[in-house]
Amino acid sequence: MEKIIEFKNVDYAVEEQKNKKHFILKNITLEIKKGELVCVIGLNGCGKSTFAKLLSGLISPTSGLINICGLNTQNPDHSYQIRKKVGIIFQNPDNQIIASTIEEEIAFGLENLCIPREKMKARIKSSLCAVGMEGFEKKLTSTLSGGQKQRLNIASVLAMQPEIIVLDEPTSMLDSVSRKNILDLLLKIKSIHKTTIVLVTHFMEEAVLSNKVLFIEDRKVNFLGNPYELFSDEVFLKTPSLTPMQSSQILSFIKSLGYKVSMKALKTKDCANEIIKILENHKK
Amino acid sequence: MIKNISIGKYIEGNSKMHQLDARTKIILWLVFTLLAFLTHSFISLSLILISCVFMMKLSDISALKFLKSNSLIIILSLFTTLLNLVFEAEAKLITSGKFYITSKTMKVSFIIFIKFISLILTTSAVMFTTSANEISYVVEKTFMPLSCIGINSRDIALTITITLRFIPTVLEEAKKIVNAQLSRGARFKNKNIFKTFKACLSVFIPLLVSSFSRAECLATALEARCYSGEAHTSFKEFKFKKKDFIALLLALLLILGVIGCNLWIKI
Amino acid sequence: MIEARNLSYTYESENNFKTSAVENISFSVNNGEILGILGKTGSGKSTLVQMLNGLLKPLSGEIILNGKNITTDFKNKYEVFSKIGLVFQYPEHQLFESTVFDDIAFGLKNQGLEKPEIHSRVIKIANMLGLNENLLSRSPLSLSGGEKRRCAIAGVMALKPDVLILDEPTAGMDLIGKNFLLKCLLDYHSQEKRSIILISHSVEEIIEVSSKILVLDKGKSVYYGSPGGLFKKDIKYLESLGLNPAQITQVMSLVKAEGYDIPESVLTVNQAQKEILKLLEKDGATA
Repeated sequence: MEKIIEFKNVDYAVEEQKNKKHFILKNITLEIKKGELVCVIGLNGCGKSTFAKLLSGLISPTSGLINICGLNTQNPDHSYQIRKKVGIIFQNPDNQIIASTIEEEIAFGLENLCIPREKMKARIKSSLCAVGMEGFEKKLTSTLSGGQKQRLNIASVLAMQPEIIVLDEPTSMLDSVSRKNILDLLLKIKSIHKTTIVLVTHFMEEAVLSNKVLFIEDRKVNFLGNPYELFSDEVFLKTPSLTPMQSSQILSFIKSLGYKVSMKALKTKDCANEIIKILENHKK
Repeated sequence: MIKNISIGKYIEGNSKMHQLDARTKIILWLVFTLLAFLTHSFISLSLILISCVFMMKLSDISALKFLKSNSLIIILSLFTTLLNLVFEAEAKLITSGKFYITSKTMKVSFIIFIKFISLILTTSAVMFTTSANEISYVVEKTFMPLSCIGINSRDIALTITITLRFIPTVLEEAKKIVNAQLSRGARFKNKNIFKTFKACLSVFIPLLVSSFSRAECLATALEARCYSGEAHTSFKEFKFKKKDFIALLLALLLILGVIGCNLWIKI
Repeated sequence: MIEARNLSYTYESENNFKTSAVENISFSVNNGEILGILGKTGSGKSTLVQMLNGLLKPLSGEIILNGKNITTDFKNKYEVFSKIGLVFQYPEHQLFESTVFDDIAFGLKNQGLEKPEIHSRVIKIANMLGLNENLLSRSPLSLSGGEKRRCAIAGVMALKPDVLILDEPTAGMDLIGKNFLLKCLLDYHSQEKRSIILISHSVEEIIEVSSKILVLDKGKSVYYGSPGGLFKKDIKYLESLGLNPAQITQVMSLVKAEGYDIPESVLTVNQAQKEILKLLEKDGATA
């Protein structure tokens, strides 16, 4: 799989006082391949949101190189192209909606891309279909629930047919049912459209479903790789900024009793099967 | 009362008013407003009032909804009218305290009241049936000639769209903050003006802060969706239809009627 | 003690349709108890909560605080507000004073307390909520997200209300922030011994700290009793109420499906650990 996002020695700093720089991210080097679902985790304030904005070309690194779909984000001539290719969704569902009706909201992005009017209606319809809101075109955006608003934001981005979708904690203001719906939707989008998805989250259950997890700690990349490796590693689990999944917690507990368990059985079904195996072996 | 303010409250629908082009509606509003302001004859104003009521009827908005949404301004209008009724137009600043109502003051007060109601009716009829995006499209097209002096009309139009779209949201937020501060004992209606001021500040500052943060987020979101204020296509198709021509013709007839009344009927 | 008796509230929607937001809710919270109210968005939690401190007048029913009806037996609504403290969702959105100290003191100044009393209360509550003294002179807007939240909550706690109601106090926080805030709340509870009502849509958060649970669905009370009783409800029922079961609940439910003797719903990791130990000890073998 070809790489679609590339970071090389990227620093991002802001100037707090005169000549005093405060680094939010330091020396980030990584690659994300096309079609991957990457989850970015870390404590609040570790630089996850800044990372998401750097990915979308909305801000430029202080030093280092960022290539998105082969385009250098620091080249101002590339900005429009990069924004076409990367869609971003933020945490607060309300603060991304500008129009009064749903179809006008989705059309806004299409107008900016100079899509002809005849093609707009079809794109609006298909993007609403993709997020499970068929027939909602004429509805008022102010009547939507938080989860629906966020799905609308995803539809608005999807309609622009981006190659990469970045989501900065899209579900942290939603309840658990809406959160699950959004996650299922993202997995569906990934499998149908083969879009590369970068999801910033603090829910470990979401991270475990990704191809790669990027753990940012103390402004640096502490881990980038298979989520199972991260969540089953005893050393990492003891890191205060990494909160283990409940499956991981129960498996650690059973392991502490002296039983042999696979710490990689993090998904619900796998964890249940591990526990059943232990109990079965005891019956014997 | 906060819930009932009608600004920015576009209501979905398919009434005759909804079907009119936004430009037609803005022109109608301008015509009715100007006529109401400029004419003082009783019969012309009655014509204008009837037209405004007709416009309101065509928007399929119930009288109750109309009254609820405009309660504050209707009360203000009544109050102004009453003030005028009680104080004679030529009253001296230093009076002996004598008030009296004459048939002249009654007529003047009534005329003022009709003007207010006509304005409220026509504004409501247009606001309820025109979405923020339609209004912003009209603004964009109207200000397009200003691009030669460096003013981007799409920027202005978008500012209006976003303002109108967020008015209900900000009002809702204000309500929440008022409740939160009330629960901490903030005195909004207090003899001590300092306490009242402090209470108002306790709502105004958080609203301002959240508005700035919201504006930043929106700006980022707009940028991310390739907004550049430059070349773009348009989703809404604004074409004048037969209905629009009929409406504009009726408006012209009204103008003629008002002029006629002013010239030949002196009431 | 606070008691709600047959509370109902309806509101009028856009087309003058009357919708019942809350219907016939009753519960009581004794001094020093913690009541957890669970329900998904739209279940009536926020409406109920605003009735409890007197902001909304119930259509029918009453709220009795220490034997007095909050609608009729108090001098004015401000007296009720000082006895029933309500922390709204995302309370950091109400911060406005120029310093953290002043913001926490806002409610106390409104109550008309003397300066020394205000000072000592603010210092004490700031300490309890993990806000260092050096933060007190800073602008509340310069604090981190978690600190802002705790500053706002401190502003209500400082009033020393008989009942403290918190509407989704951990919404939007990461796990470390959540755990720290819950720990501070429990410290407050154990030190001040006052009643707390916690509202949430997360079962795990509430289940371990509450002495009683009230579950709302579409404005009606569908469960009112001990947390233990909630364990007896099966997982599908909890899902239907919009209480998305935690991962551990789903895991143990799958284990139960294989025939093991486990309660219908295991709601926390602690409880799962106990159940597994029980099962392993039953078989009489440890590795």
